[in-house]
Amino acid sequence: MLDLNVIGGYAWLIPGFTFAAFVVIMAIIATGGSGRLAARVAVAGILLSTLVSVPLLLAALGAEGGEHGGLAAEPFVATWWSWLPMGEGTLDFGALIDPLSAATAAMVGILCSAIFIYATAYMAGELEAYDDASGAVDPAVGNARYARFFAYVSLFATGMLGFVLASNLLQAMVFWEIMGLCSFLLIGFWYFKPSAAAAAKKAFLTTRIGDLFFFVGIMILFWMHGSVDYTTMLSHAGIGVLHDAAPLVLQFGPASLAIPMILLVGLMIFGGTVGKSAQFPLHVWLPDAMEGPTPVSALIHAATMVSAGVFLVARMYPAFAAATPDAPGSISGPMFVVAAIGAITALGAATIATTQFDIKRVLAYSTISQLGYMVAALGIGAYVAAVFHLITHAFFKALLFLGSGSVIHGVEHGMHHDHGHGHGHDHDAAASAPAGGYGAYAADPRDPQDMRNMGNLRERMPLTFWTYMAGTLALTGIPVWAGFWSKDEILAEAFHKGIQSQIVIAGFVWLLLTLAAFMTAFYMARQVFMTFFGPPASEGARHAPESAPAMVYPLVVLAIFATLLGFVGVPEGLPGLGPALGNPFHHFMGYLSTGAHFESLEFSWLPMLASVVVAALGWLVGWLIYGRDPAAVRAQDPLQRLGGAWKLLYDKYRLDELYGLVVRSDPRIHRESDASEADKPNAEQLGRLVALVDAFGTLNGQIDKLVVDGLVNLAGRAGEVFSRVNGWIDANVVDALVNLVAYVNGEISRGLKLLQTGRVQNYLLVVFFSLLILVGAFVM
Amino acid sequence: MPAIPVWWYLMVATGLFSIGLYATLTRRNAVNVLMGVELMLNAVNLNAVALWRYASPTVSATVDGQSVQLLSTLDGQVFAIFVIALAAAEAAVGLALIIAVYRSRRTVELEQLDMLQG
Repeated sequence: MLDLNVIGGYAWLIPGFTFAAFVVIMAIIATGGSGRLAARVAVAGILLSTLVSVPLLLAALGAEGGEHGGLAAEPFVATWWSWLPMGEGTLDFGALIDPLSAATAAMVGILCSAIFIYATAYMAGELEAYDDASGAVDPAVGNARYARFFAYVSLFATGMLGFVLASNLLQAMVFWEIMGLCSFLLIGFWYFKPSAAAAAKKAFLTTRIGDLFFFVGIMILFWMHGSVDYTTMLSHAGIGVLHDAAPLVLQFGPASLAIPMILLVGLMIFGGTVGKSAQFPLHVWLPDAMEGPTPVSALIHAATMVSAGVFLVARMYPAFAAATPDAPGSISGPMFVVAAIGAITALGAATIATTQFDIKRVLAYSTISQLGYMVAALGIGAYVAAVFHLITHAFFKALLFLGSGSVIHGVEHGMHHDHGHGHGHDHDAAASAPAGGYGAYAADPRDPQDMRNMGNLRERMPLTFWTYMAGTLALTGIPVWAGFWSKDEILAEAFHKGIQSQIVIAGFVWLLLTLAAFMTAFYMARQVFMTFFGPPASEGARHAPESAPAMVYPLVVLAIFATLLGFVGVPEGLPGLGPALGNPFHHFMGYLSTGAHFESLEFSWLPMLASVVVAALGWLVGWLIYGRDPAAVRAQDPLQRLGGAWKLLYDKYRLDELYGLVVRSDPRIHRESDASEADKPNAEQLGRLVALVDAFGTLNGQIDKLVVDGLVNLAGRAGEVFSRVNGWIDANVVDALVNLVAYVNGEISRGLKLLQTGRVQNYLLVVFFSLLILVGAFVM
Repeated sequence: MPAIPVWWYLMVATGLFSIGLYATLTRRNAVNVLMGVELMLNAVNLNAVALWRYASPTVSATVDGQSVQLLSTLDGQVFAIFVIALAAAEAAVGLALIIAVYRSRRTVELEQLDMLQG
C-alpha cells in the first residue's frame, strides 16, 4: 500500500507542476512560440499533478487510524516554505492532508485533466483568430491567444490545488485570490466583447465583497489564536479558545449588542463562501460568468472554484459546529444562517433555471442551486453528505458543461457550414446580440447557445447526447447515477433532523431542497427535450457535426464517473446494495479534526422514496410540457402563459436591476428593461420607482441646500467676523504692549549706555565716589 | 604702649593712600597707574600693621624673671606679608598686561584704550 508519509512529502508537486506549466507557457507566449506546444505543456502539467494527487488519495485511504478520527484528527502536515515569521509563530506555505483535502485534490486533478484535454480541441478556433486591425487571420495573434488560455487555466489549477491542500487559512486565502484573478481573466478572455469585459468585472467585484468578510474572519482568528494554521485553530483546544472568547460588544448609545466571537468568525468566513460559491445574495455574478469560454465555465464556474467556498465551510466546519448551544439537536447561529442561505439559494436558482433559454445559463443557475444544496447540507450538519455532493456534483456538472460546449460547438459549426464564412472570432460571441433586437423573448437565430435554435441533436451528436444524458440523470437525482446518492443523502439528513429531531430549520431546508429537486428535474427535462429532441430548429442544428475526439473522450470519462461515482457512498442501511458496498466514503470522510465522528444515518425509505418520486415527477411534468412537441415549445415556451410570474423568473427576480438601482452605476439597466412592449408595465413600475427615488433625492437636496448649507454658511460667517475682531485685538493691543516693553527697554539702555565709556579710570572714579557715599550713609 | 599715638600712622597711611588714588585716577600712563595702585596697597599695609600694634590684646608673661606684656596675635603682620606678596604678583601680571597691550596697540595711554565703550 502507498505510504502517506512518503507521498505527502511530494504534495508540493501537485500545485508545483501546474505552476511550472504556467511559467513555461508564459515563456512560450513571450517568445512567440506555438500555441499547440503551450496546450501540450498545460496538459502535461495537470496530468503530472494528477499523477501525484490520485496516489495521495489512495495513500490517505490506506492511512492507519481511520477508526478513531485518525487522519482527520492527526492529519499529515508538511511545511513547504516559511513565509513570514510573525508573533510567536510563522506564516507558512504547506500542505494539510486529511480526507477532505485528499479527496478534493484528486477530484480537482482528474477534472482538470479532462477539461484541459477537452479545451485543446474546443479552443482550437482561437488559433485562427482574426487580427483586429487588418481583419485577416493572423497566426501570431491566434497562437498567443490560444496559449494565453492555457496559461490562465494552468495558473487557475495551481490556485485550486494550492487552496485545497493549504495548511493554513492565509495560504488558502492567497490561492483563493489566485483563483479569483484567473476567473476574472478567463471570464474576460474575449475581452473585446463588451459583455464579457463587463461580466469579468462584475464577477471580480462581487466576489471581492465576500473576500473582504473572509479576510476579516481570518484576522479575527489570527487575533484569537496567534496562528492561522488549521491544526491549531481546529483542534479540540483551538475550538475551545474560540468558544470561550469574550464576545464582541457593540455599543449603540444606551443599547449594546454582544456578538459571540465564534458566531462572528463563522459569519465572516461564510461571507467568503457566499461570494465565491455564488450564494444568495451575491450569486449574480455566476450566470454572467458564462461569457467565458465553455471549458472555463465547466472548470471554474461549475466544478472547482465555486465549490471552493463550500470546501471552505467544510474545512472550518468544527468552528461552525462548535457554536451550537448546549441544547442537543439544535442548530447554532452561524449554521442557521448557512442553512437558510443555502436552502434559499437552492430553490431560488432552480426556479430561475426553468425560464432561461441559454443552454449555459440554465446550467449556471443549476450550479448555483446545487451549491445551495451543499451549503444547506453543511448548515444542518450533514457534513459528509455535503462533501459527497461537492465531489459528485463537480463531475456531473463539469460533464454537463462540457456537453453543452460540445453542443454549442456543433451548432456553431453547423451554422458556418450553412453560411460558409470563417469561424473562431465570434465563438460563443453571438450571445451578445442586442437586447430586444429580435422582439420580445424571441430567439436570435444566430445564437448557437439558445436552446430554441437546437433540436434533433440526439441524432447529429450521439456521443454528446448519451454522455449528456448521464450527467442529466445524475443531476436530477435518478437512481443509480451519482447525483442520486449524494442528493438523497442530503435530503435524508435534512428529513431526519427536521422531521424526526424537530429542528425547524432542517425541516425548512428539507422542504425547500425537495421542491428544488423537483425543479431540477423539470428544468433539465426541459433542456434535454429542447436541445436533443424534435426536429432541428435551425440550419445550425440541422448540420451540427459530432465534436472532435479530444472533446468527446473527456465526456465519456466524466460520464463514467457521473454514473458510477455514487456507489462509494451508498447508505449502508439500503437493503442489498448497502451492506455489499459498505459506504466507504462515509467511513473515510466521517471524522472531524476535533475527533468528532458522524454516525451513519439510520436508513429510512421515506426520504429516499420522496426524492425519487419528486425527481420522477419533475421529469414527467417536463415531458408533458416540453417533451411531446419540442418544435412548438421552441417557438413559444408554454410557461410564458404564466405572464408576470414567468417574467419575474426570466428576469432573475430582478436582483440585478435592484442592485443597479441601489448602486445607480449603469443607466443601461433602465434602458434594457423598457426595451420591449411586453415589458412596458414593468418599465413603468420601474420608472415610478425611479421617479420616487428622484423626488426624494430632490427634496433631500433642497433641505440640504437651504437648511444644512445655511447653517454651515452661518457658522462660517460667524467664525470669520470673530476672527477679524480677534485679529484687530492681536495687532493693536497685544502687539502694542509687547512693543512698548521693548521700546522702554531700548530707551533706558540708550541712556545707561553713556555710562560705559570704556575708560577704566572713569569706572574707578565711580567706584570711589560710590564707596564714599556708601560709607557716608553707613556712618550717618 | 609705644610713644607715638596711632593716629600718626593713620595720617601717613591716609596721605599715602590719597596720593596713590590720585595717581591711579589721573595718570594717563598705565605704568603710573600701576604705581598708584602699589602706593594704595602699601598704605593699607601700614594701616594694618599700625592698628594691629595698637589694638591687639596683650598677655602677661615672665621672661628671664621679668614680667612683660606680649601681643597675643600676629594678624597684622601676616596680613601685611600677604598683601606684599599679592602686590608683587599683581605688579608682575599688571606689567605683563601693559606690555601685551603696548605690543598690540602701540600705546599705553589709558585714554585711548576705550574699546569697551558702550
